[in-house]
Amino acid sequence: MKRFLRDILFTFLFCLSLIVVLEIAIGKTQTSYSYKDWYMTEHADKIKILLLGSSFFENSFDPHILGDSVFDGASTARELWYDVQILKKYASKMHNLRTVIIPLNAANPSAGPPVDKAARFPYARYMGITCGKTPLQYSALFSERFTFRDLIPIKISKRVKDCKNYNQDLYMDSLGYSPLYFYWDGKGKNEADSVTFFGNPYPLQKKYTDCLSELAKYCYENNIRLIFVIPPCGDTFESGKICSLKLGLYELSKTHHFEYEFYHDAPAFRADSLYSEVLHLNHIGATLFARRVKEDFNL
Amino acid sequence: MLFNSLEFAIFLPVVFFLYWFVFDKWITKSKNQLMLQNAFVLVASYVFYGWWNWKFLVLIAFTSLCSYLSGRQMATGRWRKTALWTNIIINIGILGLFKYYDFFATELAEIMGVSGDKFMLHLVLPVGISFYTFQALSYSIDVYKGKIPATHDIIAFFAYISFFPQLVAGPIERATNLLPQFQRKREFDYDTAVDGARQILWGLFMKMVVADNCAGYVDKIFLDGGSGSDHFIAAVFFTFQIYGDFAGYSNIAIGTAKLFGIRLMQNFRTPYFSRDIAEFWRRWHISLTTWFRDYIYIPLGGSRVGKVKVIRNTFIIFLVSGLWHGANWTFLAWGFYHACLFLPLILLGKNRKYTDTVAVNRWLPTIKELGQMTVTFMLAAIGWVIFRATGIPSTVGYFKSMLDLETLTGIYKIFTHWEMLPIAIMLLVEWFNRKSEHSLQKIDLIIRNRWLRYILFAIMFVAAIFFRGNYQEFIYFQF
Repeated sequence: MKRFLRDILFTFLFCLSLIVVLEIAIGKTQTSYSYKDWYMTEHADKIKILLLGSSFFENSFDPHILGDSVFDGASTARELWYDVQILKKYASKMHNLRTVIIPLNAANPSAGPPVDKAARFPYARYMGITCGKTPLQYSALFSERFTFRDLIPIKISKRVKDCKNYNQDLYMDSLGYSPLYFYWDGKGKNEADSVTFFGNPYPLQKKYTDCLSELAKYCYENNIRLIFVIPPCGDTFESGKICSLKLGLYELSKTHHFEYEFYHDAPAFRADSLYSEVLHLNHIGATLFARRVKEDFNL
Repeated sequence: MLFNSLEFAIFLPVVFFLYWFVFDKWITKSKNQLMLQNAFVLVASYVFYGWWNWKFLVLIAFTSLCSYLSGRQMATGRWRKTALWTNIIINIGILGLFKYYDFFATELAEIMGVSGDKFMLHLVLPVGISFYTFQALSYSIDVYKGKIPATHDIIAFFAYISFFPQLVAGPIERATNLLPQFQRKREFDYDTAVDGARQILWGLFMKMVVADNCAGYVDKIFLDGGSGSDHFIAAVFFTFQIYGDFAGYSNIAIGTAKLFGIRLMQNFRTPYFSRDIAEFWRRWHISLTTWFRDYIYIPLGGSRVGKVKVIRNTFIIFLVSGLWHGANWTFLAWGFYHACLFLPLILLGKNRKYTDTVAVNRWLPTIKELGQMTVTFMLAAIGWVIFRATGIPSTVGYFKSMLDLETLTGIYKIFTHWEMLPIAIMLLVEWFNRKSEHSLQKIDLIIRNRWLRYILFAIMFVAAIFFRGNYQEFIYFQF
């Protein structure tokens, strides 16, 4: 028995050592999240226009059209709650930041904070952004500091190249040239808390409107121009949600300072040839959309 | 709790420690030491099983009690047949109610042109019910046939039925093998325990790295479709997924049992190296196929009757085997398909042509053997497509998608899928260890240095965690 326990112990020690080494190595490997964290920290003063939001800006918007001082800090499937946290965390160092543009998902206007661990993980691991402040969530943050602890599978595709044109690479990466990144299947949970506008069956969640307010308030206090755009997307969303979003933004604009524009049904973006799939523009559509936003908002 | 879960990783060492250090070493002087140890196994097994749903415990306890009492009745010498058939009817009845009632009620309602919802009971299928029911039945039948005396030790019997490593997905143990092991003292044996630990590790690799990684692509194609070659690749991947999943589970179960000094039967013997379908069925899910052979096929006359009855018996066995897997016409179709493949071999008397291991005493197979294995593999893969599909129309649709020139021209794409890497590793390792019970059994002969072995096992374990596919429940849990 002693010999068996000794064997198990030694194997376990080797496992532990290997895990620690891998954890450190993986933690240091660049991912799209660590990359953005690095750029927004190290090159904060270069950024005059900051793009946040989800895949609508990560994949379907060409940031180069807006010039050299723009940074695309969007990430796929990001909840609005994280945009608030990221803005608050990084914008304070961006002394030249003048404009923040955020796409709002007309197909699914929902906001966190996300309860799903898998969705929280990259933000906690690479950007130091936790989800909420309850003791349980703080302890979850601690566990999320370790890749292994979450038992997240790693799919390694290609390393992110060291390059001068950061935006270009990230943009190209988002079109399918995959950088080294983590991905997983999280299952989000929609909060039931919501407010109803005019009895609409698809009310905006209260958390969502709270996030919009917080963004508007932060930008106003820091003299940053805030622009919300509802990007062109396929007509698979339910019109009730668009209606809620329009009404919600209209109501908020009475008491908060921001600009917004709806492009979801703009005639210029109706052609199927501009889309890579039902929701997102392809690279041609992305360029046209960026030009349109630049024109409309005089950027 | 699943074998590849954190809960089990905590559960197993705790149970191991208590089993050997408390209920073996510290209570050695007690007259009831064996009984206490068995009771502990029973409690641990019920905790393991109850982790899914404590309500399931009522059913397994009831099944165990029925079988135990039927054995006791048969031991009295009176009403033996009645006791046997009562137990069979009760257990099959329970199985039928939970597993098949809703399906057949819906089908019947559809034939009658009414809504099936009214007749459905929406019963939750208890995990592992097919396995432990058959295990309980094997006891009763063996007692009736005089192969094993009826036990009076209710604790040992309950522990035999509910022994946690093999409770939810087999192997389906025979009372003649497992029950006596609960009736005698277990001694800790270093070699057995080490072998068990290695078998667990190999099982984890098969399940987490091979099966779970294939699952993503398989699910995508079966759900969303794709080109002809995509369908072909998904069929191949599912063939490996179900093998990695089920054989992986069996390896973990058998390895875990070895840690407790219990020997379970081998459930898989490299079935994809079979040279014909008959050999495949001697190597795949051995515990179930031998159960059907011993308790249904042979009593029906087996192959020692006229050709018509042989055909009848073959179809009965494969259809029942298909039905055992679940309540869906696809399972029956799968059974029927394999019956059609098996029948010519048995009618020609060639079903036992290959009883030894392929390429025995050779490193590589001959071209003929390679061809035979490839053909058998493809035949099995076709069967697995039927097994995996959600219905007969989707099965037909799936095969239609494969009947495309693109399937041939695009077949090379299988090598662009990184899932092929763990599959290739598994096949290679299994090939060179095809005579062993599991692929890490003879690792000492290949890597003689103890420290290098520790490093290899650590690498395998960490690889199983870091390169595992997305979380997937064991496929056979649904049966």
